[in-house]
Amino acid sequence: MKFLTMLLLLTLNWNALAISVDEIVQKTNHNSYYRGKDGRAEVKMVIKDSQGRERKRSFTILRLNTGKNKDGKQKFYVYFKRPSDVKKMAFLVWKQINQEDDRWMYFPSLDLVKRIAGADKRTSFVGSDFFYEDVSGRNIDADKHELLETSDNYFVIKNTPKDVVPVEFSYFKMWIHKTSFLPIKSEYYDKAGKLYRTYEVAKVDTIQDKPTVTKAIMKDLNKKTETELSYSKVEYDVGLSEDIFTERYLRNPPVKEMKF
Amino acid sequence: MKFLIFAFISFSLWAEEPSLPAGLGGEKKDEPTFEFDSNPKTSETDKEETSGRDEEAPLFDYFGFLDLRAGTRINTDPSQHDLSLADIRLHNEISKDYESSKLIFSGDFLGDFERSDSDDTNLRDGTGLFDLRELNFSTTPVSSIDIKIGRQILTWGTGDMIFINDLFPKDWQSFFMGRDLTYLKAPSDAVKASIYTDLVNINLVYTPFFNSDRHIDGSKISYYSPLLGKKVGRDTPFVKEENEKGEWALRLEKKISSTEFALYGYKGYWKSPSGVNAQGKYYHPELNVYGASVRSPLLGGVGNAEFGYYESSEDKKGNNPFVPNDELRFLVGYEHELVKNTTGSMQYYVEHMLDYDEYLSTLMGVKKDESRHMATLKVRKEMLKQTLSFTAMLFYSPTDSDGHGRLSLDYKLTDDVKLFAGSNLFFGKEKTTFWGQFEDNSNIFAGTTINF
Repeated sequence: MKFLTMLLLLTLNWNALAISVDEIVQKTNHNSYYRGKDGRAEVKMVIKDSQGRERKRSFTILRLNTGKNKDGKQKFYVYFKRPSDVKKMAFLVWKQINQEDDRWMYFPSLDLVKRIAGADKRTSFVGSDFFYEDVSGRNIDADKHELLETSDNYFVIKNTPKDVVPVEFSYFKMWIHKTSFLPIKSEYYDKAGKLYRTYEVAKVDTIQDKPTVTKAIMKDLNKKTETELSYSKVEYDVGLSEDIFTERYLRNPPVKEMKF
Repeated sequence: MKFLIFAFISFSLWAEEPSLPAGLGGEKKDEPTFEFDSNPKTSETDKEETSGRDEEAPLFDYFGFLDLRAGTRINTDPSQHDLSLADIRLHNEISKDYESSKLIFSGDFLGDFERSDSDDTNLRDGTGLFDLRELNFSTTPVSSIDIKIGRQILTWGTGDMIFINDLFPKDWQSFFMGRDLTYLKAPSDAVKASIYTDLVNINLVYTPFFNSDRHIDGSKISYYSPLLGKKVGRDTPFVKEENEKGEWALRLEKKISSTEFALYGYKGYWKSPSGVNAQGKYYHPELNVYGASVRSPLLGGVGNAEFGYYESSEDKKGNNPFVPNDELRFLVGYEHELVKNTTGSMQYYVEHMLDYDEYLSTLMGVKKDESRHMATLKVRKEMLKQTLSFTAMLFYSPTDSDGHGRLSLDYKLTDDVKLFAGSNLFFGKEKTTFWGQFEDNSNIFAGTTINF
């Protein structure tokens, strides 16, 4: 009898979970960063400091999945439009999985292609509250994942870094929407266990049948700054060629691919 | 009691649980169920909403800035003004994209108040009221070829402010007096053809009329004149013979995995007038350069190495004291993030003169060493979410016992207003070595750039 009860409990448990933590994390990673074979979007950032002053960034981003394995390597091309002092600069990233990304920056006024040394991925992206890693994706193998709970709408996952040295958080919690597998909210806790950074999605649009985050806000609670990130003109499976992600197009922006 | 605890727990959970965002049912808060916004009409409206904020596609793309800066010498130089820099610069840039071609114009109205004996506008050497930076047309006639014709800025090679195979014109006066780094590069009037193949990418640049460096000529920066055997400045006219002949520059580039390899060739002239002709005038002797470079990720940073053989073809034997000898030039460099938001880099550079015995036996004037060694160290720190940045770079030659220090501090007050200050320092044991001769030109400067 006891055995039967246990079996019953196990089965119930199994049914309740239905999906493993790893699957949730993988699906979330896929839906956040790897949708389609490629993608493009117009990106706007509004950075607000503690005194309410605003700085604005706008750029076009092109992405291509290049990994042989699912959700592996990617290439990104970022073309800056605003502010004026970075206008027409282009940033090329070959995202690697178990090694440093390759990064190049093109400065048009000098016609200079500079290779960027592998920098800390948890530093500000273009001066915003988003980190480089928030935009390009954090390696899911870098953290341990636990399912804390399942609510009507969300899986709540706690992510604890395997190596605490390179990161400023002790763990972060994610509220992952159960059917779209999009992280709707993340909370980052510092080494003293205090909440200091939050990410929250404000808007989701369904584009080519894919629910897609089109507006999100990252807040730095210590510095009292925040950045609103919005994506527009999002498209998947554009048919981007790998050639675009080379020095040729750093020097000559791919006008056709960026007019959409 | 149990109920209370339960209520408390569920309340606290509820408190931190995010409500659904717009598009995931967040608009309809009373309805517990949610639907995806899969109605194409709705997403279309959303799209229009977001893209509607973009301005209508303008006829052409424009941007510009106003740059005001002033600087002063920190030592007294009897052959120069104390004021080292006083610029009002209005930069305008207009570009137009077509389907597979592009037209670019950029130019600066420049009020150079330091140069009181203001020259007439000369588009070739950039003096006078207008400096044309770019006026070019680029096109892709077939998918594997790009062509760019006209005035353009050209750069290649792996060094950081050390150029071995990049023989495109530089503006050393601007670089040493505290103008924006952009102005280190002087424009070329050239045709650039780029051919992309699976085997190798080829860049070929033809400059029909030689583009000299905007070199040190005493007008802003005093220097040691080997001809006169003393330091001279703006009171001593720099007499040189102009060169109207053509230049060719070639680069073959190949990326293998993450490593970039390149081979280079150049047929032209020494970019600074380093020869003296029979009339006692400076001139640009013939020069051919053959070189190679490699750049790759290395130990979490970026490493590079570059080499060039400088064939001074008017003095193959090395026994003409009025023309530079052949040289070998080497460079290795490494850049790495030191700590968060701080990057450090170092380079080591050697210029090795060939036929040194012949050089010694025919030497007139100041003797140069067979090898000139130089190290550079650079630290760049970004602060306050990349609005404040500090850069320090030191060039030091252990063989010449001289060097050059560059400091700069930039603060972006807003997206469009930048304030900056900096310094260019020169020092050396002797007044005749490369950096030592510029000692009295050490300067500090400050200014602002306003974008519009």
